[in-house]
Amino acid sequence: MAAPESGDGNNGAARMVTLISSDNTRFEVEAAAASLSQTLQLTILDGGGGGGDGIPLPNVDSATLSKVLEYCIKHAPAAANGGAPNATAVDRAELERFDNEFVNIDQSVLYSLIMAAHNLEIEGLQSLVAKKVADMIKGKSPMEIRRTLGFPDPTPEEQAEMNAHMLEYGWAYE
Amino acid sequence: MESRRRRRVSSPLPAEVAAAAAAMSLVLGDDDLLAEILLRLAFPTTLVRAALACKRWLRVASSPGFLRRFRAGFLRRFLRLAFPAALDVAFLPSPKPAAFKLGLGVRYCSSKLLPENSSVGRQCWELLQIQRHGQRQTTVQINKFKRGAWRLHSSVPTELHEKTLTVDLSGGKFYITSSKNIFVLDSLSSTCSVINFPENFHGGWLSKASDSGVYLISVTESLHLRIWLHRTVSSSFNNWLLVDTICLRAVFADLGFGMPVAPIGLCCVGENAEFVLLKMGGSVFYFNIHCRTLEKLFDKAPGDTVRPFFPLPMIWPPSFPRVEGHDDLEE
Repeated sequence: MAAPESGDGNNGAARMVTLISSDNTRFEVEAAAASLSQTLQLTILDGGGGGGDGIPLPNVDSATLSKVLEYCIKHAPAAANGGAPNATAVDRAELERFDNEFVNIDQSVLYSLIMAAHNLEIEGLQSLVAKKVADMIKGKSPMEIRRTLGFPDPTPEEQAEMNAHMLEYGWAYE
Repeated sequence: MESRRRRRVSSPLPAEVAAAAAAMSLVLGDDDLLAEILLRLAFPTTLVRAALACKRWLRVASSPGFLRRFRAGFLRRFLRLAFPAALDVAFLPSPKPAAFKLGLGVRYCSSKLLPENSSVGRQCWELLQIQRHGQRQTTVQINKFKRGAWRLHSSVPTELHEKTLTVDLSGGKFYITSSKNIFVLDSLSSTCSVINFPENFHGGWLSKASDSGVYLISVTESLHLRIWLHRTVSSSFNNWLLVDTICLRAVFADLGFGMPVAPIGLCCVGENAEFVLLKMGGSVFYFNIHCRTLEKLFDKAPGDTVRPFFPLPMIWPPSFPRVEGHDDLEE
């Protein structure tokens, strides 16, 4: 059913693939979007995921996968343009707006996303989420970082160590 | 399919807290993923803060492999970010110039240096150049940030007639170029001395050499990049050594940028004479001297002025507390 000649598949009916989350939900997406994942790309190039088969993703639950695919679908056109050197400023601004809103989510979802992006090798997504977590850390003192990320309270030894660091690195604790 | 997650929660249920904690420890417990996050902290000072949050982070952040990656990213981002308004950029504990009262009609130029690993200890420095209105004389004031406060370290009147070109700190010495010579302030002994330029050579940019001493870099009229090295040995007489001469015409032509059509100027040099930023016409190029690679950084927009800037914030590496052997504790 897929257009056999030009590999683009961007004209007419795009080739679809099915992905199956760990909790057995099926997602049908364009092959171009799913191919943002380096891991999936190979399978898809081999003709996998089409028809009734579907590609099982035992490490990704449906909530995370739907979020991942939301990202892929949005970014697929630009990626198809080879990083879109010719993209207009409007397109770029729109993607940026999307990205900013996309990562405006609960921490737990962020972590699931970063894990999924890592497993599926979606570089842009991994970078986007890592940047978001980094932004939550920036400008904070070590104690504030622990609080923000919900680390358990320091053990007495850790506390002693931090107190020692504080003498030497006073500026970092301001 | 999302109904499960749509529970309205004012206080999260224990199961969700546990799930969030599990997701977090999966990610932050993986050194590779943690490194991906820490890499994006952008500035060395931010990295040091994060490294102090827990032992594992410190171990990951201070590993040499990670620092190499961090530095490469930092340098790249810094060049893009800081240009062309870098004079105002300071990655220091206190964003303000030292807390000394400056009266009206006083022009000042503040340069700051990050803490570094050296015998000088862990301190930040500020070099404040002050010129009172209508006076030729400039005062160079060195302020030191230690234990949470800025203090005046030393102050020397000089006859620098123009704005400082470059400043660098090497082995506790500040180097300042003026039109006539290079002025050296020793922060340890609070003394100053003067180095003359190498033979009929004036101006140029200074760059700290990794093992005490400074490089002086300049572009000649014939478009050659000249690199001199001055070793700080006992006396102050001139011992400049011409270490490299690079024909920029050849570089531009060989690397596919065509023959340079306009004069080429320097607008930044990297530590250890590793790279220079070249300004030609409306474009700025990054030339890596060690690898002989050239890359166009950007074209300046009409109306932009390209100001020279000091590569000061690149003092490297950041200093971390020592990591002990038994380091595999979870946070």
